Amino acid sequence: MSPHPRRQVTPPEVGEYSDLNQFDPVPVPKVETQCRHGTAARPMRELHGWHGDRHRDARDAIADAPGRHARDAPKHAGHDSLKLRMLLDPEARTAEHLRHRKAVEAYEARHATGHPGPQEAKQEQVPPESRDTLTSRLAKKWDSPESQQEERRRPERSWLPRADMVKAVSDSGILVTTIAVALGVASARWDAVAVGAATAVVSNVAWANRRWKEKHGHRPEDGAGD
Amino acid sequence: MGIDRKMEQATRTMLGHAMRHELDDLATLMRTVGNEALLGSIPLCLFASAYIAVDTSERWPTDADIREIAKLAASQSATELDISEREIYEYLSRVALGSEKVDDVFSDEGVVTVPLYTTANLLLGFRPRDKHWWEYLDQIWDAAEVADRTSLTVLPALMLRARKESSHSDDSD
Repeated sequence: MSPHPRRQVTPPEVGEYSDLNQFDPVPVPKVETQCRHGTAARPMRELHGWHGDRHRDARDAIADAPGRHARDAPKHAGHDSLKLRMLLDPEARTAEHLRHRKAVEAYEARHATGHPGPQEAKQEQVPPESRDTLTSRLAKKWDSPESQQEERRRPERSWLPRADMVKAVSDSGILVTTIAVALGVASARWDAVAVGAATAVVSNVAWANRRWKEKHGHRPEDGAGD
Repeated sequence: MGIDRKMEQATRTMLGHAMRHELDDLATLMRTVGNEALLGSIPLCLFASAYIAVDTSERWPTDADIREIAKLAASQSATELDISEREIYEYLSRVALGSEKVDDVFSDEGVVTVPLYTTANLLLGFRPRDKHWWEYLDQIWDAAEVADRTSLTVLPALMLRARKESSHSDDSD
């Protein structure tokens, strides 16, 4: 395979409009765009002589063909002959203008009958595969009717989360016990105090952990244990 | 976008009734909450439905995305609410994701019901599989509050992070 990308001369998308471009060179057939040795593609033609001694005398069929000019050929005076003729010869200029005008009018007449131009035709085209992809992408996210029905029947969560409930009960217990001990209703025993303190620590840690999770959202590592 | 807890509670309850097709309860609630809470629920529904549209499209929704969302929300919702694909499309494209006001686009009867019904259908249909609709709603309100406090200069960094995470998940697939 050639290391140089072969230059593609793309023909007009809609062939019938190509007559509007009066100065477009003749499309170059692909088969002739490579040099005889097959190692150099057309864009590098200017460098043909510098591929090494082997390519020094390489010829290009298109470049040498009479009456044909390639886009990337070295520019010389002959290329400007049309422009020069237009500049110097008012009659030729008028004739060329009229010919171009006629081509434009013909195009506009066809366009007015509802025949879409290349740009319009392109805009209307939505590749069917992209439409399918979009449909499947969004439809995939849409929940199934059965699952929706199930979700509708499910009761909303309690407004008092469980960890908060545990904390509220535990804190109330500690407060009641403290007041009872202070009033002499209950006797202060160290084992009871130890159990109460442990309960308070556990409930507060659970509550704080929940608050932290609510604040920082679900991390991937939290989901691993679920 | 600061979220008023009273408005949020009323909106959530209305969405629940709409989702379960408890239209009598919804009508009673609408009468009891008063005009202020009722009108306050509209911007919340607007934000929630726009959030869901962007979230599901994973980009700023194109016209084709909105049409597809409207089609799904109108034809495949278990809520059976009286809202058409056209209304959902108009609401999303012109109001929620557009710049028009809801009362410029819909008649008086639709001003509250179209945002409410659309949001209910979208919440139920597009909620993430591992979340209940009310948890998804919590996520939306949290996002609204965080976005409100965050400078727009963070946006490029967030886009980079999203891009990186999506390429990581593509690699792991």
